[in-house]
Amino acid sequence: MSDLVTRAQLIMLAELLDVEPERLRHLERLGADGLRTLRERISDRLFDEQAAVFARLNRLAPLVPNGVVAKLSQAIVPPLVAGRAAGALGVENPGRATSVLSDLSAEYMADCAPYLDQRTVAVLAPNIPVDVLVPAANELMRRHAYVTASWFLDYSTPELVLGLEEGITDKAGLLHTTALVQSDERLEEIIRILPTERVAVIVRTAVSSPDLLMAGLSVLSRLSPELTASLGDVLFEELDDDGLTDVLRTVVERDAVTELLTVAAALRPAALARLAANPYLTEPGTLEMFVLRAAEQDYWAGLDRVAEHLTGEAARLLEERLTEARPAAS
Amino acid sequence: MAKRNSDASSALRRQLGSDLDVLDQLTEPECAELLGLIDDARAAQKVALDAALGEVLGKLPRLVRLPARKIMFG
Repeated sequence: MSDLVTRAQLIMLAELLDVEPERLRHLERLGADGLRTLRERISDRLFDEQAAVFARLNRLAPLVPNGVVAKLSQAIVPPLVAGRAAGALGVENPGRATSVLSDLSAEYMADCAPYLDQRTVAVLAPNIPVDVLVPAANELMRRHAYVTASWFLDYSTPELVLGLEEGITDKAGLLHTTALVQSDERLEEIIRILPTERVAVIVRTAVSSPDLLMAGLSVLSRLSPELTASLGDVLFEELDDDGLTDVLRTVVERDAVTELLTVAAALRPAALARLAANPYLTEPGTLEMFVLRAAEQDYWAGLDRVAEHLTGEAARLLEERLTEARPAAS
Repeated sequence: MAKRNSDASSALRRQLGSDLDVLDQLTEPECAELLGLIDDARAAQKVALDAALGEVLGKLPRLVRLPARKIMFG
């Protein structure tokens, strides 16, 4: 599959440049880190070029009461401008920004959020009260604006993370958002902040649709092995044998075999045994595909663990294919 | 293979910084396209910002409108 995090960076770059993501599709090869570096530099330059205007706006701030700023903004300031300026104003006057945000509608905040300078989200987000952020987050979920929502999750304090999880009613949207958090370390941190039973609710939503499954697998494949194993157990408990077959079919159809193998490397024996006993996985075509993907990435740990639990013809076939694909290790 | 440090590539490096290693992976036509998109985004941002500021100043209470204009436009 197209790596979700890379895709998210591509979408953010497209939004910054106001073009359709398809137009930039060829840049996907730069990878998530490359795209992120490129996008951040372009964003920084575009914002810095307007620094003088934002500085003058800052000097205007004392003249206009908060209530008037909020009312005027919603009435006449386009989201692009409000988003661009809000970041600059918020960094200079974080207390005031919080007060103004409290007077804005969730819809207007959601309109403006994609245009914020991401550097300022890092400063603003931790200062936004949870009761102000949650309605805006729910509005972003309603619009499926998961990329934008992920910025706020990225920079939220532990209290805000807990508040967002509790307040966001759309758990599927929350899973999509969580999958787009930029760094693996931060993703791990966020998952660990949340109580286990709350994470389990989010993980269980992964089996509701192919898109959610991709998001769920992407999250699991980015976590530490210990956490992946625990959440993998939650996921497997949610699946009966037919459900597991559906998941495996989706993994192959969506080309998420690499992610599944990464997860498999961390799974506990009971989950691995179920995986290895699945009739769809043991079909020669599926095993061939798994070997192909492992060879492409030169990543064998997941397949080796699956192989430990295979029996009969499937075990023989996989061993044969592995010997061909990985001659040096055979 | 695109020639490094040719026109678009050099211009992009001037704008975004010569330390940006990811630019090494872009071909000359890709650099040219990106430059054009950045220029368009810059122009659109300026137009939107100017228009909105003008409108906001016009809607400010009369007492603060004058000092506000002075701050914004000197």
